[in-house]
Amino acid sequence: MAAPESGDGNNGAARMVTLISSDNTRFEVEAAAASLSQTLQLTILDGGGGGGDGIPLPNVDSATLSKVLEYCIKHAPAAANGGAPNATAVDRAELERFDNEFVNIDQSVLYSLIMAAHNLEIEGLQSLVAKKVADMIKGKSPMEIRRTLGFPDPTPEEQAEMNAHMLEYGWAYE
Amino acid sequence: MSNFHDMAASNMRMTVVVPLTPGVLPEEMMVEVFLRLPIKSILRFRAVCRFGLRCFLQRNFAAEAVLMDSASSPPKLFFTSPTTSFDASSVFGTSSGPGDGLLFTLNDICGDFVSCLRPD
Repeated sequence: MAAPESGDGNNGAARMVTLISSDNTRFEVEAAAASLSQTLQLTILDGGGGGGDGIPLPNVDSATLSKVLEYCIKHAPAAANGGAPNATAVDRAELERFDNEFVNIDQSVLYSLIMAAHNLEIEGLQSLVAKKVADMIKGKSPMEIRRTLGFPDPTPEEQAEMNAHMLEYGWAYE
Repeated sequence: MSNFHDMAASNMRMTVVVPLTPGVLPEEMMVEVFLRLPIKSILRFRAVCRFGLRCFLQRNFAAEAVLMDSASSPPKLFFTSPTTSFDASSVFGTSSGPGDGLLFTLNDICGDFVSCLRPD
């Protein structure tokens, strides 16, 4: 006879899934945290990623994935509460502090994070990194923006367009 | 002739710029960044690349920007020029919600005449 606690056991202990980075490192993480990724959510709902299987993530290296998962684990409880309507101000302040600290990173790490947030479709993380990039761009000249975003130097034609824009919208450059 | 660099230098503090990206960011992420910029930076961004320009022509950008803004800001009119030579103006209404979008575009301003294009 099935012990009644077997059903409870399934629900009580948090379900874990395994994610495998591009360099073959395995990360075991709560399904609820990994499900912040829209990309992974369906696979996980279908029961994937459990046991010895693991979900391969060929576009995300282990350093980036561990950073991404740090974010997911921190944000999973609030997300599970439907955006945590009953979260205390202290909880929200703590998450905000975490977020600020989280993106206080080297630019190369930030770039990997942007790509991972995009590939894995983690909404909160996408917002967070986008805000960080926006903050980096604010107050910069078009040339500096180009360089920040890794655009090649402008062609003479593009340069002429930039000059024309600058004359037209002088107030935006004050 | 005063070129762009000189003008930029005279108007702004110059900083050493470390490229963020080895490549250009995915388009969706660029839009996310756009939505979080103040209007001056958006205008400057438009000078940066064709992508910036294209972004403004997509009505859903205006709509999304409204959504982003609606909680905290008073109603606005959003003016942008949909051509690379900046000789036309499009006006987006952002007062009543994302539905109002593009109101009209002014074209070919010449003497007392202007051609006004409405969507639909």
